[in-house]
Amino acid sequence: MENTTANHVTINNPADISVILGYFMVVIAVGIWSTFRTDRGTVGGYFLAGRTMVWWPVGTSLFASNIGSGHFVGLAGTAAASGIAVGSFEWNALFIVLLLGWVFVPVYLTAGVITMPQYLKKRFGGSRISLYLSVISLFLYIFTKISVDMFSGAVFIQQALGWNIYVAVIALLCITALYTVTGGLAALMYTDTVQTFVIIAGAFVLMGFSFNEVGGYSALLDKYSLSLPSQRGFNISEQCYTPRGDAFHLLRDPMTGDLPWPGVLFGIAIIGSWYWCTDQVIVQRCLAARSLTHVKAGCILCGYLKLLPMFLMVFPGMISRVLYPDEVGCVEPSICTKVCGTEVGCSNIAYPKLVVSVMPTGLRGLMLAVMLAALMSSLASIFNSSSTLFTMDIWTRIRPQARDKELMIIGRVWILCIVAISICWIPVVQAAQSGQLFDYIQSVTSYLAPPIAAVFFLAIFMKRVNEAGAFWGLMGGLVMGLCRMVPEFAYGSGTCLKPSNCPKLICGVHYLYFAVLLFFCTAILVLFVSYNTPPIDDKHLHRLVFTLRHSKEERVDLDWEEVERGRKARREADEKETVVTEEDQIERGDRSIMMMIIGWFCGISDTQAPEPTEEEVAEASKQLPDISEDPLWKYLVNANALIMMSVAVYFWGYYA
Amino acid sequence: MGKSVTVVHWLLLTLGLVAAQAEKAEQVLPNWLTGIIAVGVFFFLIFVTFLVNKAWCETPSKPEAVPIEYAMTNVSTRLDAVRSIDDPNAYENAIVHQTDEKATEM
Repeated sequence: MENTTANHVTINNPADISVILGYFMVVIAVGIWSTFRTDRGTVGGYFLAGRTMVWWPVGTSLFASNIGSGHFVGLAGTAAASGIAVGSFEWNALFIVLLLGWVFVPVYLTAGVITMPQYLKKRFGGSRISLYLSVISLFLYIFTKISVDMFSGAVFIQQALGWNIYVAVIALLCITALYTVTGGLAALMYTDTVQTFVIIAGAFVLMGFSFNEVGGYSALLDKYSLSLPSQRGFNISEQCYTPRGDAFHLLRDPMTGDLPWPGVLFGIAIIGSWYWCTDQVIVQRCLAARSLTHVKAGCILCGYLKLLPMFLMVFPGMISRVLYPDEVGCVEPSICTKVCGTEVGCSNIAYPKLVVSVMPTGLRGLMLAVMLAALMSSLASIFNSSSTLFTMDIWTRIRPQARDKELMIIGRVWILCIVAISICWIPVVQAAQSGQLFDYIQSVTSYLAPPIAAVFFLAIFMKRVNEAGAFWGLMGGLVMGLCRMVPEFAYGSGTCLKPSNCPKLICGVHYLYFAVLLFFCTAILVLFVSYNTPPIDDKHLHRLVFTLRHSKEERVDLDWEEVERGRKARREADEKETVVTEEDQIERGDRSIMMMIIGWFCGISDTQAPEPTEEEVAEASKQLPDISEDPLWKYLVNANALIMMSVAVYFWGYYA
Repeated sequence: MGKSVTVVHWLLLTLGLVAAQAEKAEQVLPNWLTGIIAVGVFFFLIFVTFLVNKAWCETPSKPEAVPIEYAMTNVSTRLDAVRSIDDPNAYENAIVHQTDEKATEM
């Protein structure tokens, strides 16, 4: 897939290159500084940054982990094609992120868990639910987040530098893997602050230049509906290349709109709840905070930052269509193939086209740094969290006696595996999306995520829900989701020129409506099965449900058997090792220099602290995590949340 | 308080839509006015929720206050250890193993 437009510009001048190098210097410096600053001696220190993060790295890390290159390319591209409604995905998150901080994180904090499958394991007992959640989360990471972000980053590099898409992808992955390997969560969160500044600064600059180029905000409002491509085939219906009439409305017709308003309000809320409240990547950042007040303040900061993508990405996407209707708004398949390599449509190149054409020299390098920042921050977070999930939830079940060194190695090997799988998935992403990347992510997510959101909501709010209910609800939801997803992918999503053959019964329901339907069906199934099976006793549920989150009573963990087995296995492995090393020490000489360098680089050391004895464990479990808040700060934070919600409501009302 | 407010938000947006739909037919209200009306309705709903919260949720909380205080005195000394930032055991989880080495970052 080679780019052959005449005016693609390579970033090869000193100003651009020095900007990019400067960016990398700053990021690496911040990464190194933060590794010295936090104690990574304990697993808590390693996975959760020692729970010492204050509110601003939490907030910026939430934002940077969420905003990836997929947002730049996907939001702008979908906006170019269909207007501002795609921004409602971002503005819906303003409220969901408050739900995260006020409802979900207090429960996760008192439960004392590190991963989400672990929470479900404690809440319900048994291991099939947590295994299912780990597997499906990893699946969703690979097929929606990682491959889309890599594809978008590669599209951008291809447009800006003219490289082959696979070369671009592999280069990006090498940089990100390097970055992930050398930084722990603390380093990731501090560098995310730098990335957020870079992203926002660069995107603001581009927005300024774009608005200048198009002639101002009101000029955009007027010109958008007039931006038609000059070459339209004879047998292409008018609605395929004419901008939508409701392009500047967030809430659109429930029957004929491409994003109907009930779907936007409720469907996106459900998908958003899955993404922000139950997903490992996001929740891990909140769990790393110093106290609940810092979590809430971080969530508010993230909310304010989420106001920006509408102005930084959605409007520039529309401006791109106004300025380059023949390329971004192309409709004739042969022309589209010439412009961007896919015949279905070229709206994906909206943002890269702006960067290449509108930005002056020197600032183009800044925009490349912005894209790299967005890409690297979200990919690194996803890699980190998915390897956490894999090592803590899947590998420890296979080998409970695994010690830290083995877990760290497995984590890295796993990162390489998912990277390889994601590269292989790129051709499918290219083919499947009808030129609208964001739609692809959201539709796959809305077929698979609502059951998980339903189970988590019910797990937190209803004590009566038990393991059988949750498991069969998840399975039923999965079957229902697959019934919709498989035919839709088999028939192809179709384009305006060549609509898909998918039967109306299956594909006629909009994916957002389907998400709402799936959510409620799963909830009903969960409740039905739960009420027909024995309940879970309160003594197992202290600090695992919302109503019992302040309870100080002793909890009998449902998974204590498995935990004990694991601990015994590790103790046995310890004893065997001490016997072996005593014999070994006399024979083995010095370790080779090469092994030591690799060990230092990867941070793997030979020493391993012994598994705590039973008395030590009993002592440790008596220390309860604290979610109390200083009353003054609590009121301040609540007031701030109200202010943020009012601002959000104002903007929704403005653009409705 | 957060969750009831979030519920309120949905109610509000639905109302906001009604206003928007009416607006499409008439095109009378400018954008900023719709925004301000939406905020006004939102504040009103917050106020109503607050009143409901005050009136309805006061009584059930009293009987719980006594047993919690009793439990609190037993663990208050340990809470100091939990609150310490530098204490590596602060949020020790039964599954998590303690290590003192410099573990790897990912």
